[in-house]
Amino acid sequence: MYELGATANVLVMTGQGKASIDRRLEVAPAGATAGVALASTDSPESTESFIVRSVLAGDRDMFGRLYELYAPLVHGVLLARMPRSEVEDVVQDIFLHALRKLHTLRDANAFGPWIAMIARNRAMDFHRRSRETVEVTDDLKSNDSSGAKAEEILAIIRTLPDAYRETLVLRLVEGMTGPEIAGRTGLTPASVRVNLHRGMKLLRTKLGFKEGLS
Amino acid sequence: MNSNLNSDADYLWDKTGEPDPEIQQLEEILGTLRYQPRPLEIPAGLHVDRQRSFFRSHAAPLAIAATVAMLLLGLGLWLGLQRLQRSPQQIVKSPDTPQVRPVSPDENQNAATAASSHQPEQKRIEESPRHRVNPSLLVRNSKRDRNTAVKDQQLTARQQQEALAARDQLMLALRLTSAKLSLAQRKAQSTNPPDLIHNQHKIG
Repeated sequence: MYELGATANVLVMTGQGKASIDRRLEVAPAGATAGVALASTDSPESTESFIVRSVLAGDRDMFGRLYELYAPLVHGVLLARMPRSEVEDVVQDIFLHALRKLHTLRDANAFGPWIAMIARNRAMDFHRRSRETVEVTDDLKSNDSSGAKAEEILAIIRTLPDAYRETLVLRLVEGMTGPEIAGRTGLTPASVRVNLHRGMKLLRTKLGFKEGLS
Repeated sequence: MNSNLNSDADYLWDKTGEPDPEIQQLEEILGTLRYQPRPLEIPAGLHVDRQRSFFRSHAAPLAIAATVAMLLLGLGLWLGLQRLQRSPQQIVKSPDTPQVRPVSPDENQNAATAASSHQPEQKRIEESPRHRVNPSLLVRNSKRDRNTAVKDQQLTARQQQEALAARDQLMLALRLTSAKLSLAQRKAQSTNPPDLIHNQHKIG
């Protein structure tokens, strides 16, 4: 059970799904501004719904929680499609856009798929615009050798089909597990699993692991 | 590669099981590109719509309902106008039709009798509940009245011709009679002796 105090205000605000929220929220430590802390082991479905409703009810600070939860997802989706130098700024833009348009989100549980789709569309817009103006140059080369190698492998991943490259970037770059990817993108676990394995197989072929990465 | 498929699958899927060195190596290298947490800077003037408005969230059903309502309203208005247009035609036109045409006195009398014979029937039709309930019957009645009026017109024309013929015959008969009378008068005058008194004077 939760204790009265910080969480009590939260439950009064929403008025629904108390049992679910009770399971997924724990009492925030002293001094925490958000009033709630997310249980690290739980999937974020009900939590994101609760946060979305809180933001729509006027608690703009709660949007920071959504940003913390989903910034790696958006970053990964963009990194699979855009130059790394552009990604950081676009992530911020996408979240500001999402905050402005949050009232258009029909299903509060679908924030992840929604913002992932915004990110994909934004990446497409970026390529459309850049094709109209100047051909996009390759990513800025990192100074160190590991950074350069990472850029090189990322460039190879970007040559894979859409479904594979996004899943692989989320898994290998952002460090998310298969179930996490499925939960946040809205894809089924089976699809994610298939994409991971097929993508990995293609990547191994392209990288030529037999020769060794180093 | 195939020998460690299961451990590879587990590790690739949820990082459990025996770690695959190649995947670990990739994770290590690509991990340098991982998202670095950065605070979200929300502009102070950023306007956020708090709730979807009722009209926005129910736009499609409302649009359908409005369309249906407009159609029903239009249909109702159209039917009402149709009924209004039909009723005055029915009441005003039918009784006046036989009285419009100028007719001869004989015809006028016939027409008057025809109209007087039709008027109670017309009133009966208009006052009957069937007339009020079913407008299609009204239309049928009006047609019948129009046919009767046309028939009346045809009858009076024939009668007019007969009357003209009769007048001509009568005029001819009068002229003949007048001629015979004048002839008889002239014969009577011619048969009397012109100096009868004179003869009597003679005898006397």
